[in-house]
Amino acid sequence: MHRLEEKVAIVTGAARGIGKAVAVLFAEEGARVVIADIDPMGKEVAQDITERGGIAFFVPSDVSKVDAVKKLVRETMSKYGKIDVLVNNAGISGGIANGLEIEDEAWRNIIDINLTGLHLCTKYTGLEMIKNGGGSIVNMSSVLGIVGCPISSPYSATKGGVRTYSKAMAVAMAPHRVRVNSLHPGYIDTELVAQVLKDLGDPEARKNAEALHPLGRFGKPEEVAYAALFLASDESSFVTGSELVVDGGFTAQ
Amino acid sequence: MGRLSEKVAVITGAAGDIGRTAAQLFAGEGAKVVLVDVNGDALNAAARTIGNDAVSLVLADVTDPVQVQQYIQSALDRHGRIDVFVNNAGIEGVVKPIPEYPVEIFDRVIAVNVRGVWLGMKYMIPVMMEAGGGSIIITSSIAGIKGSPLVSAYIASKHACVGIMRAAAMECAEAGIRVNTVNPAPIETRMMRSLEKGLMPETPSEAKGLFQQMMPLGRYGTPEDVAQLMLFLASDESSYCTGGVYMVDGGTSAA
Repeated sequence: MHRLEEKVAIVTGAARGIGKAVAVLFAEEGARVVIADIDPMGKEVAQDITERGGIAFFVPSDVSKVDAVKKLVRETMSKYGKIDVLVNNAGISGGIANGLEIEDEAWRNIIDINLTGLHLCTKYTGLEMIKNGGGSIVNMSSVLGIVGCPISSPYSATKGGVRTYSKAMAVAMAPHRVRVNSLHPGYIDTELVAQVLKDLGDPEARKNAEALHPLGRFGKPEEVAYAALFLASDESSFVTGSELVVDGGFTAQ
Repeated sequence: MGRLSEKVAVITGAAGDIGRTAAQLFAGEGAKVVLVDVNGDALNAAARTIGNDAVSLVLADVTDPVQVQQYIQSALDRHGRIDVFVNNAGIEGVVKPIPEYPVEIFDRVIAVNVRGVWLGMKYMIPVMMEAGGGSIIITSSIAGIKGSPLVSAYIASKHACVGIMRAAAMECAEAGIRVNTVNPAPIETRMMRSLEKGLMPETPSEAKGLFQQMMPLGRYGTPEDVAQLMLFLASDESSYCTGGVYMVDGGTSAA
């Protein structure tokens, strides 16, 4: 299928988990994918995609650093001359410390990556999209950007920020035909979630977390990737400023 | 391989602009589609427009429990099962402030938009439970999450659609039935022409201009825009999506 034929898409945090699933699916749908990650595994993801007949290249990037973001955009523009899609997926969990327990340095770190990094990518990519007459930005938030849980306050601060930042940017960039939406996964089967459950040290943690979702299970990275695909493609050309929930019913109850 | 290959979809209000466009899109993606509407002529015209023999027609008034059971049974008799239900039939009512709003029209709007939707759920859910799952999409509106003057019956009914969706999503999650709403902002349809005329009888295009000004994308959506979102929710791609309110509103609710 070719739902992203000819489109140039940057996916941040694409070395593993949701980001990797997004990059792989986008390439299958005809996109030229730029894999941005601080993790050198991103190179292997790009290679796998290329070996399977897709188009992808890897740009090692720390999204929290403005120079790295500018370089990412510059390299993409010099290779392809445009950017159609940005999936702002790079993010960390911040561990299991809540607002009372988190060390000041750790707080600054999660803000830098999850919020500032997302903003920097939006800003520098958005400017190119405006010159090109349009685009679609998909910002990875979370159900924890809508509700809170006892260990999520730093994470929720960033993911809630992503939610309303996306709406403000959607309104700001609508006249330029750049769409901005936030994506809100529930608990997804990824290494990030596995690490958090492990850190909780409770053998029942996974079962308890699954039970929070009416569908009774975690989501798969591919299920989030398909939602990102809908938002990235022209099929959603009237959808902007929305919060697209992929959460097995978590926030409906 | 279409995105709805092998799937059977029932769409109510299928003679309307959004329903018909969704039916056409679904058929194009490999689904067998049963079109349900109360208006026989409009239904025939819709089928002719779609021009695909994957569609069949059933005349039914969604406010009548007997006719709801009949349209569902008709789809089962023809296809053996139902995978997707687009609970879309709806009317707009009139444009008047609450004190002047006729009680009979209020009742009619609630009958079609709320009771009709709920009756569809009542009789469709057991069919999908038997089959081990399915996807139900209820057409709500931006009026299902926001208020505005002069259309209180419509707003009440579309808010109720969100409530019905959430209740059903919770009840049916274990059975593998996903339930979601789509919430459009003004779309280029007969319904909006009627509301524009209701608001400004002498200059309806001025009403359209006013609505468009409030929308970040500065324009109405198309029936195709709504149909594409319905397609995503109908297909297995949205297998982790249930209990959700899905906006297709040009950014209107974000501002």
